[in-house]
Amino acid sequence: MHQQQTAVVSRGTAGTAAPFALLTLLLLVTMIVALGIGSVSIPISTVTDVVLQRLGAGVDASLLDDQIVWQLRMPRVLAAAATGAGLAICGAVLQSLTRNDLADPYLLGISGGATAGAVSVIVLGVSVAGLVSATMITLGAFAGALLAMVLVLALATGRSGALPPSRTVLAGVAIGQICAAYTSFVVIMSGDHDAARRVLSWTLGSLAGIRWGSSLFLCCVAGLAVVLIMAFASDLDAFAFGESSAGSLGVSITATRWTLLIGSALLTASLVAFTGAIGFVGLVVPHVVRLVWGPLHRRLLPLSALLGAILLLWADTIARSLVSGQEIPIGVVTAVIGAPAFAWLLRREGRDA
Amino acid sequence: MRVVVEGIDWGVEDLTILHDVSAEFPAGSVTGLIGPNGSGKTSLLHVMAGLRRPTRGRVEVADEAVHAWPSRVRARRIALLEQHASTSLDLTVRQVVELGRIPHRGRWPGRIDEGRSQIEAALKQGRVDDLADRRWQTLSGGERQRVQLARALAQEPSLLMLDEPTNHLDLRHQIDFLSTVRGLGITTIAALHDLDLAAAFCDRLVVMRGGHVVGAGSTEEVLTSELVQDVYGVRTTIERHPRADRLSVVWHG
Repeated sequence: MHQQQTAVVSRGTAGTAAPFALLTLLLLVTMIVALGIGSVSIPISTVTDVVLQRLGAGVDASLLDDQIVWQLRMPRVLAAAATGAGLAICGAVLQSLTRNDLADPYLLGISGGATAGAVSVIVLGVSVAGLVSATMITLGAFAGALLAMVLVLALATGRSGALPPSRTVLAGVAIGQICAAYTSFVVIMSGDHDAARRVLSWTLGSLAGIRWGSSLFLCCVAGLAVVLIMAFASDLDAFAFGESSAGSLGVSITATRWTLLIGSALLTASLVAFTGAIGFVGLVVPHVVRLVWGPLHRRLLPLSALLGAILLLWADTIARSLVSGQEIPIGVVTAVIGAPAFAWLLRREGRDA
Repeated sequence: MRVVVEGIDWGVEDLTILHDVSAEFPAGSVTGLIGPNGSGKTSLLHVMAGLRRPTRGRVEVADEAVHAWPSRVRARRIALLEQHASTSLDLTVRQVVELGRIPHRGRWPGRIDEGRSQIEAALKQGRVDDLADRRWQTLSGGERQRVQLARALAQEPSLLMLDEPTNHLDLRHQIDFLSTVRGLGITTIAALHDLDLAAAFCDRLVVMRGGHVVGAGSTEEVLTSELVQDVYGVRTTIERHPRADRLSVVWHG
């Protein structure tokens, strides 16, 4: 009897402040712990000394510790947090906008396009110049992602300029398949084993090789996205009962859809260009947040960003430190941590639904 | 608010669904929109609610053109209850009703207790205050419809549009729902299928067939067996019921 009561009354009606504070604290702790983990283990007190010294607090830290913590690990830690946050809010926005639980940041053919772009540079670059810079791959991936997005939107747009969600999803699938075919074709035809290996590792994502410059760029992009998306929290809530309902609540449906789809695509393309296609975070994190804290966006969006940052940070830390001297692809780690956690939550939810 | 519709055409792609529709809805009245399936009732509601732009003609609410209003302004004046409101999200009743405050909020998230008194009032008016903490997914059809009404009332509208609001409700809930709506004193336009309910709760009727208005006026004038025969192709006897003191519709083949 009592149990039935709790099943009927929903959880998560409390304010935003408590979960927000909890996850922010967890993110900060995760960052500090992650800075200490690696091929050289550094105690937490030393990590905080280095960070405080860099922030001008007048603490003395050794040059070697500074080199490892601040120059090598910090950019990567920040990049992981920014990427996780960005992918998670993209996933949340796209799931709400298309009312499709399977929507993820790569919905608009972004990952396929980025891979095709990166592969073109890797394979053609290898055969033409014999040398490919990381910057070229990043630019190639970004261009590929944008091209795929433009094709998907052009394919999905109706005569009236509307962007029906189901057509958008299907157009994304179609363009994704074309990109995948192109990628396989180019890799096989090139017959270059090294290129094939690099392509595979690119599609599973990696934060290795991220330096301060790219890291700050990723932080700015993700930070800006988190702030701007909050202006759409109410509009996204209005889509709960479908598009006519959103319209009757005063949301301009077509304008909102275009703005958010293009915004999400640009954000994802920027992230993916640096990190490769990291799966799972954008798909699963918003669902976890909904299951625990409910579906309203003024909570869903910031909490997804925080949880995404935390998850990707742990995934990257494991990816770079589990096997010494070798990087595990981060996409493998996100799936290995994320899938069981998600399955457990789904089961728990299944019990009282 | 008085609603005047003048010579509206509207369609999808090359198919015209509304043909030269004109009608008038006096302020404070409850008007039933009746007609067979596919006669254009939902389309007309959506055009009047400003969700669809007519290809010709105009809709005026309180002497202003609805389609010239910014969408948020429109949503503070007109609330629409859709035919099958459904969601896959796990929302509480209070959260669903809160959606009605969206047109009154600013772009950026404000204080958490924004509009709380209007939400409480709407929960009471829709008679769902005792359900406030229940989950939407656990509600019955009748409860869901009352929650949607409360959501609409949280918009503080001066004009209420209902699209077949009593479908799937049992007799008790049909009567309760429409009595609640009548008691609000808000100008209401409701698409209805049940002619007995329309006769009981509407001051006026507008009759549609194939995208045309084929009858309009007070319920007593409009609802005749000739009209029902003409529009629905069903023979009926329509007479004032001695016990209920209103028109009752009995069909006989």
